Amino acid sequence: MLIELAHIFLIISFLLFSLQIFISIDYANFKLRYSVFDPIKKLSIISFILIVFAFLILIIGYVNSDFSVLNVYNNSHSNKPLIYKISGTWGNHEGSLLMWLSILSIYGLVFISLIKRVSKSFSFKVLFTLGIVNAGFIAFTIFTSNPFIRTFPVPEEGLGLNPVLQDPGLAFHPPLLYMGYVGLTIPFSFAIAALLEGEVSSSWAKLVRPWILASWIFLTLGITLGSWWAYYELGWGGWWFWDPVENVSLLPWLLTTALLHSVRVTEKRDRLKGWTILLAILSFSLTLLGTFIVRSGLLTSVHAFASDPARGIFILSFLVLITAGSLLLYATKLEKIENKKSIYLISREGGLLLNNIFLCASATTILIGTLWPLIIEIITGTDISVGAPYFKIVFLPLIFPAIFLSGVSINLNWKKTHLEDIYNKIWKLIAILLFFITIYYFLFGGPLLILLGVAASLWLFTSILNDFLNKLMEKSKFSKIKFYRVKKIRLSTYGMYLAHLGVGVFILGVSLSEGMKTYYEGVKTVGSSVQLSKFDIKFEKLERLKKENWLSETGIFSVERNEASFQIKAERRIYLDTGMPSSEAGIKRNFFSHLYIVMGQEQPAGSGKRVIRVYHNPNIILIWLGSIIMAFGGVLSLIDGKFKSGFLRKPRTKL
Amino acid sequence: MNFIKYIPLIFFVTISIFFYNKIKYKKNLEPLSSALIKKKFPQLNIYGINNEVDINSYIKNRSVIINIFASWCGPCRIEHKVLKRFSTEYNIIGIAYKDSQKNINNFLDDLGNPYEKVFFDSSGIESINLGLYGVPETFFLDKESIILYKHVGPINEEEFKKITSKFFTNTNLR
Repeated sequence: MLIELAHIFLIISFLLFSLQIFISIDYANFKLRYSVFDPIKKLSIISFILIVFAFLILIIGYVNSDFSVLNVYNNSHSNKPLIYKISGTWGNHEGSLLMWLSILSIYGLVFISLIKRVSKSFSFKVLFTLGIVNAGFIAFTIFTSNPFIRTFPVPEEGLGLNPVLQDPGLAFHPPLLYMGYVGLTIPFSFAIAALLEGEVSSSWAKLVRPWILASWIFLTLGITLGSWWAYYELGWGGWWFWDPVENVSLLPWLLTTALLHSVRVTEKRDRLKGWTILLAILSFSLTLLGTFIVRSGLLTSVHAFASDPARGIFILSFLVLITAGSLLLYATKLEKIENKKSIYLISREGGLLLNNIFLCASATTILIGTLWPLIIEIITGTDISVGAPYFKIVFLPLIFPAIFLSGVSINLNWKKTHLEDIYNKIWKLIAILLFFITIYYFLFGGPLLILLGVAASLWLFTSILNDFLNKLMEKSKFSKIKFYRVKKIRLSTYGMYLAHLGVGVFILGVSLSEGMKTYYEGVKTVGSSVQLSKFDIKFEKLERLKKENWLSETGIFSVERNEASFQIKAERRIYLDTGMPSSEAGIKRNFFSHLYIVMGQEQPAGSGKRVIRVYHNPNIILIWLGSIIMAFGGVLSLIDGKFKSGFLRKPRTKL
Repeated sequence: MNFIKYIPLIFFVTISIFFYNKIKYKKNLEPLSSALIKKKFPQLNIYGINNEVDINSYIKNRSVIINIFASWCGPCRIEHKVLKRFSTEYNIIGIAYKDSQKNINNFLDDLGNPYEKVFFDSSGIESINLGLYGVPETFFLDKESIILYKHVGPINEEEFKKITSKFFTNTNLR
């Protein structure tokens, strides 16, 4: 019964959104009808709440293992731990769409709760845009991917969740990522509303920034968690694979990062308005594009959901409708919103603009690399795949200048700066940097690219330190450091420092782990041993066990290094409900480094021979640590009081 | 310079046309990437009723379609009529997955029997060697017991026809 209720909730919310869109337009004058604002607000609240309830009911269905629901039958199993029953709700296409909708609803409810701070006509337009996006997604859910369909006769047991998804990392990776993706709907709606109003002001930028920041934080965390999961669960020994779906999740992140910087220029200097709007539209479109690519099975990937051409056509039509519509609106309104104020290249705004260009260029190369197989297949009919080498070649040259420019921009002021001032500010910086690089080179040496990576991260650290000291000093003199000024620096500035520090740590992690990692792969039997860098690894024995819903084989390895010894257990599981194998890598970590063993299947059966892969990844933890520091910097910025003027208090200028 | 503002739109529309083409003319029948495609059907320790014959000797030198099913499986019931429709044209063999003889007999009495013979994997352990994802699954084998195609989930009449016309030419049929 509950399931039918949820089904009805979903249908009602669809009808309500359609009704809203229908009555919002004054057809005679081809205008929005502002008089219906209050009813529309109420209708939105009701439909948002209905969607959230529908999602909660589906979760209840999963918790109770109600296999009469086709979706539950296909993706759950009664002997699964509770947490995976719950996470199974969004571990599949239909359920994840419903989660998408309910997250959007929660964002919508938050927006409505803050609606008093914004002018009526503006919030009306935001609600109108949200209504269209909502109606589209609900229609997609109901007509092509309905999670509430019953099956008869009721099966006794479910088919089980894909075992690689049975992992705590994966239970939270999709929700975080979706919170980021879906969050971008709000900046998008704000951009559309601003275009419709024909005005982009500094208070608009102030208003939209917290939403962008929130999505950015969630995207950062979501991608980090996904990468972490891939690293230890998929047993591939890497942390980023340039898989199409990874790429489409990175694209909105890069654009949102660019947007975060350009909206700051719009807020502070009243410039780059058209660019900011375009980025807001494109980052949202890219999330739709990502959804389209993943859900239509267009590109093959570990993330591919069950593919269905009908779904592909639907999302594509929706994507075209929304994006082409917004881009057309953008093109027609651009002149109205853009002012003719020029940008000084030698200033923080100039640095941010250049930085933006590099970020967008790197996003474009990734987009092209991801879509290239598709384009080639259509033109020539041959299957090709674009792999990591391409992405490394095109991405690195674009991301290094971006990092260099961030270091410079941190140290620049808004408005025009003289070259001389810049020199005065950053000569110390360059001196410190050269000092560190020299030390590093003599200590470790290593390939040029690694050195460049280390230099880039040191550049960021020293830039931050330099700006921090400059803020503390009077007249740029070291003797005149005033420590009481530490308290005077804004929280959001510390957030900015921290986020860039995170980027530095991330790059340091990538460079050091790439430069120093070692790897072994070979066939081994019980009793034999391997040597890798400073480790002596011996395959001690094999244990077989039967657990609640899987059979396991565990290889026990003893490792010796400098007299110290410890054990590593690498496991292979075969899940009884689906019969799918999965490998659990054995990882021994101290805080920074990982020694990592993956044990393969016995081949041929009975011979005792197994493929053993051993990885030693020094300093790899810095990669994820850096990303988490970035996100934390975002959080600091978000809680800074200055947003209150645009976010929680009334705006000074009326929109 | 006025056209520059239309560039995002033009770029986007071009990509969309590519996408549309790709979906519309998507290559059909790309086998689900399975490690088993084009390999020999694995040696399985499963037998028919009363253990009289094992599956590997039964399918020797014959082109067969092997369908893994269960009486407790909802989608298998949907698929059942498709199998019945083709049971006279092809050698369809069943593997009952995690199921009892009694339930299978009731199931086949109820819905009719499209299978030439049914083998039993009551524990579900042997089917692991087939990389079974979930029931139903259907394997298309040639005379040398090489797996030509594997279909995951309930198969419909159209898909069945497409697969058999692509892989089962007259020479390797029966």
